[in-house]
Amino acid sequence: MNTEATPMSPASDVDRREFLRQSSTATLLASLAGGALTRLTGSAADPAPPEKKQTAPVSIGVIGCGSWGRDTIKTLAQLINAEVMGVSDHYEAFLRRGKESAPKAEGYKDYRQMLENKSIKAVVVATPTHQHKQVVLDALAAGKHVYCEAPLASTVDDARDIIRASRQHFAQVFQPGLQHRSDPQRHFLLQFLRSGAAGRLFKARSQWHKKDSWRRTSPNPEREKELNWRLDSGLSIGLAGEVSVQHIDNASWFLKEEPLAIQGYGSIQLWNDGREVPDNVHLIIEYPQRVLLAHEACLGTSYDSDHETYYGAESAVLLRKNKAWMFRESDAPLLGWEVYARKDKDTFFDELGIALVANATKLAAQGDKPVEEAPYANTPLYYALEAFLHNVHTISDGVADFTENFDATDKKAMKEYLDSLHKALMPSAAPLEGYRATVLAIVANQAALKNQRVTIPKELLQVS
Amino acid sequence: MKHSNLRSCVPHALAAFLLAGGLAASAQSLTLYKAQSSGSSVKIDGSSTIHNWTVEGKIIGGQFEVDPAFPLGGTPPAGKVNAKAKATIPVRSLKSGKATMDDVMQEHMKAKEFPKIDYELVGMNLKDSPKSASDPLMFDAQGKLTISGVTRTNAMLVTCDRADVSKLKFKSVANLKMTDYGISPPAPNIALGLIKTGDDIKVTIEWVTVLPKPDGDK
Repeated sequence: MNTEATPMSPASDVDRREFLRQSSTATLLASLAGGALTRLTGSAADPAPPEKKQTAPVSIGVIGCGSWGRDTIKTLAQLINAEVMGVSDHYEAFLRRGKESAPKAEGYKDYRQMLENKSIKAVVVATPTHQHKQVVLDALAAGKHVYCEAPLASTVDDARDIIRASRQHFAQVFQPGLQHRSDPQRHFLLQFLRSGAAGRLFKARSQWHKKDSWRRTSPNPEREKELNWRLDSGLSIGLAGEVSVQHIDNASWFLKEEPLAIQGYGSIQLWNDGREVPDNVHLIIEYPQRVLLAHEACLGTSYDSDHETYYGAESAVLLRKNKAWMFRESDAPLLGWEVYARKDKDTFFDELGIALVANATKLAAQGDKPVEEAPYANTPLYYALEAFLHNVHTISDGVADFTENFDATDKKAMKEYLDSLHKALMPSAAPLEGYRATVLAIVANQAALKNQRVTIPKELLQVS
Repeated sequence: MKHSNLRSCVPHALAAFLLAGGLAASAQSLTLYKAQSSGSSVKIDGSSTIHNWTVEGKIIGGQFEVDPAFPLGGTPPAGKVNAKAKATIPVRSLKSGKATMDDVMQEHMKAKEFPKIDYELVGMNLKDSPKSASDPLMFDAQGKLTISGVTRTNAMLVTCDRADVSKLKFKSVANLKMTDYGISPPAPNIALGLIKTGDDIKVTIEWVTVLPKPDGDK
């Protein structure tokens, strides 16, 4: 189902008053402890969730068996609600490796043949970005629910076509692969930041470092060219697009704003092998009220890996993988709960990091897990696919219930009904959010390639 | 000869005509309203030891049939009404907004085995004659309510909005006990077992039915 706003994010409507109300009652500790971030139960007062019910598995196909596609297959194998029944790649070696990860799956060299398989209800599109559009359009037309990796496309026109198609196929789930939007740890931090508990957010910083040429080799020159699509500026939106899309989207989500402009700097520093795509990118993303996100992505160093920091007037919040810490300013008022929170003294030179751990006191009370353990240990991709499968179930059931009881030709009423189910969906990126993130990634790449500041007209972020 | 044949045919034709007419009259003896694709709602309110909870749904299928002689657009007299109704609610369409709570509810309602809540009207009485043709009608309705495979007789007060007689909106509130239908109130095995759900629930129904559109008018 293609709800356009962010209704699937329970924490998105949290306001400061509500959060501080929770904070002042039994202090913020209660919300940190009691599952304020329980994205499924939605409220700190709700009972903790029981063991997740095993629903009938969704029969799923994966299109594109490169490294990311294979990661996806392996992640799906961990989910009890998924059954990978098809894998597709036109490159024989990738197809073989994809099948090794999904023993029950049938292999298809042509994804269109897989789409003809009626028993496959949903597909994950993990092809190179510039190939997404046709695959997504074909999959939606074949009646499949679609999870499409982000960025959705390498051109704005392609991204728009994808969104329009997803709207047309409103009875199918279309989920952009903005994984953070499904990550319960991020929902926990979203609530924390949006509430104002860190003070007014006035800047952010993020980075992604990895020493990797991005160049792939193959004995077949034609195949090698195809494999290296990321290095082809005619096909790829580069580091700024392929990598930074998640960081920029996360900042837009947390700040609840869309950028007005992006200043970019790009250069080729370490991998000067004839490529046109920068291996070193710096971006300044300008949000309203001159709130700036400074982001950098680099293929020349793995030092310090990837992390994000949001700076508030009263504290800064650092996110690394599935963990987070708060660093209080000396003049910040005491919130209360941090007295009991775990402190990491030697991890950040001479800074005192106060661990932001969802359900921390509950974990302590249970006594069977160390408090320092992050309660959400799976990858963001895991949570995003888990949400996709849940939502496929919910929407499929909704369509079946509607069709069985009402006039199935009344599409307007059916859409209204499916839209009304949004509260029953697990948090995931909405199609329009995927579009906006893709456009920002494209703009960021343009800015980095030209070393320019590129403004973002509001209408560019809309799809008519 | 021809006359003779004609004479013998006429009674048969007349009989056939009358029979066909009678059958048609029988088939059309009640006016059919079908559940509308939108506008209906069911809301279930309950309690627990930590907070009140609500479950809502928007799918109520089925149909309502009423004697065409009953003046839906007028001021009918109080008394028995010749009517039939069947309504269905898919259990899984009831949503709390919390997936885990939905799972618990469906498990306790044995939704896999009994995926629907069914209601069948067995008797209907207009309580009072309305003062004007635009006033809602108030009925005492007796029916069979089946939840989780358990059928019990149910009596409730039903209001019928009939501002537009091509669309009838029925409203009712029923107070039920889960245990009457073999449902044990959920008591999740968490929080030291202190969380217990109350047995009493309040069900609020709004059911919109419409005259089916004639064929070719879609």
